[in-house]
Amino acid sequence: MTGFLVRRLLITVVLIWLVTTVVFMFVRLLPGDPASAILGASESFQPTEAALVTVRQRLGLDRPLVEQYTTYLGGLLRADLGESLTSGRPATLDLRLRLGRTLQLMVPALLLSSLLGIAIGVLAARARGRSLDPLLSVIGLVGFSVPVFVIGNVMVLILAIQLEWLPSSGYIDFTQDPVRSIRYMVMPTIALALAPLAVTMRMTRTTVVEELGLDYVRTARAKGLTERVLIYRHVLKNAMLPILAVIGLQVGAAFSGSVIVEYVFNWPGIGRLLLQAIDSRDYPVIQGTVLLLSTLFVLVNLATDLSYAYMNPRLRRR
Amino acid sequence: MRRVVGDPRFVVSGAFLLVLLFLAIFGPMVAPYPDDRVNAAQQLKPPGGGYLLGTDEFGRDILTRIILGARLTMLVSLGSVAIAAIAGTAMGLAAGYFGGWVELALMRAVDATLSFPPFVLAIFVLTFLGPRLENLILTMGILFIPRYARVAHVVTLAAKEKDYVEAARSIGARAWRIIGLAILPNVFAPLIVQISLGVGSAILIESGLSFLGLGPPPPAASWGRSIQQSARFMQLNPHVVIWPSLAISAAVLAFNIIGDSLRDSLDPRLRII
Repeated sequence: MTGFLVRRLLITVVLIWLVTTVVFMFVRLLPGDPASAILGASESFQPTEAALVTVRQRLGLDRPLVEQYTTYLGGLLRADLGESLTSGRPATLDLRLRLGRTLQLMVPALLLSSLLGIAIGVLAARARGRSLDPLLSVIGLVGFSVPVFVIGNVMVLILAIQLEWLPSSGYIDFTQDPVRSIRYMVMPTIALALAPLAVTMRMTRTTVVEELGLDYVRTARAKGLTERVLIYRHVLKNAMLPILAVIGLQVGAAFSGSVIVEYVFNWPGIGRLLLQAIDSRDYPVIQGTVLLLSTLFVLVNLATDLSYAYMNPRLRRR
Repeated sequence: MRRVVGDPRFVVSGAFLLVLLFLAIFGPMVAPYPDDRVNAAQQLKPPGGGYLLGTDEFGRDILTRIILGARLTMLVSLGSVAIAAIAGTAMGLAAGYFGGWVELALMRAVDATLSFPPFVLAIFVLTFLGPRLENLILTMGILFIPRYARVAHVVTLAAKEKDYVEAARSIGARAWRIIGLAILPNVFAPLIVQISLGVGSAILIESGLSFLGLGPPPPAASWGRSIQQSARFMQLNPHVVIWPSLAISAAVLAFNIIGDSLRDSLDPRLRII
């Protein structure tokens, strides 16, 4: 296990380095000049050469590439992502604040989708051959086919506009007013949870159905185990590996989903920050957001792999 | 294949997708209003009265906008998946067949691509490259390569051990001939399932990017962007967002259903259960 752990950690370090380098190169080596993008150049508007030079100097883009790269990596090691061009504050301040708010949606959404997804998946697997199973299958299929912004709009139309149960969009800090804060959280959390719920449910159904056909299940039934003990103590334990892998993928996918959900519900999380930074061409913040999200993505993959290996020792040898 | 054709899920979704494809190609010819210019006198009309699905906030016929938008959606999703399927399959075949450093280099590149959150990376890349159609297709195409490379890789590893491959090799067939004639046919079944599901998720990503305003700019009609732009008016005129929302959802659903149906009939192991 130690060998596996060390190897996997090393790969992760390499991947994070790769992510940081790709982001660095994208900004500097791609066709198109970030300085003129920052100044809002278009076919009808060309910024002056003097303005371009000023921006390049401010961002250090006028220095040799190798020097830029070492400054950049050095900054990253000190958790320095540069200063926001719009607020002038260190980008890390905004990132930390916004990430917290995104997690405020993501954590409950993923808990909800994982628990409900497994529960409904087991229900569907046990209902095989009855009318409930195809019904749940169709719901699952629809759940991950409908775009998250459509789900968001439908909820706003029904729950906020028609029934007036919930505020349609916005954010209130939890410490300020917990009750109102939660009311603002409900719709974005559900919108974010639906797709992963559907995927988790489908995977749970397939693996549990597969397990239920195995010999040990017949043995367990023959010796008189109740279905509840059989499913939750034995079958689900064996089916957990693929389910866990799918949940890991859903955590990663939720970063993408939250960009759209935060836009629909005007939730000031990190996805909203990314879009705002793109609008205002706040290039250090764009770079910082993408770096942070990609790094978290790599770490989530690492966590999934490690828990996978922990549960299935055969995988550790690879 | 006969089994698939007998599957009502496959027939219904397949028919829907053929209609979609037809609209994508011949849309401008069959749309009820050949041009979709702004018409201030006809803003936000409810469905009916010459406008089957009503009009949007610019007085444009929504049915026409949806028909014209099919082209962008199909172009981006089919184009990006085609790039990914061809490049990914070639990479997987080469990695699996040749092994050694070829395998190491190709599959590590695939792993590296997977370490980026695809949607966020697409946003990032399009911000710097500009949201042009070619950029969108190419970016999404590259992001989709891993799933096809992995499928082709696994299948090739298994097929390489088969007797007929060994036989072909022993009579001196060239590598490209063995790959093309003996190994590639094994890849088709899992590949076609992945292609169908892949187009579904490509439509989701394309519409998501368009919804965020990062898709190809106007005047190209886009389902995702119509929803974003009309959302302000949905309180009093829900039809402006409902129709394009249905179009996207139905298209994704159809590809996913076909993928499911193909998997059920092509993968005997899953069919039994």
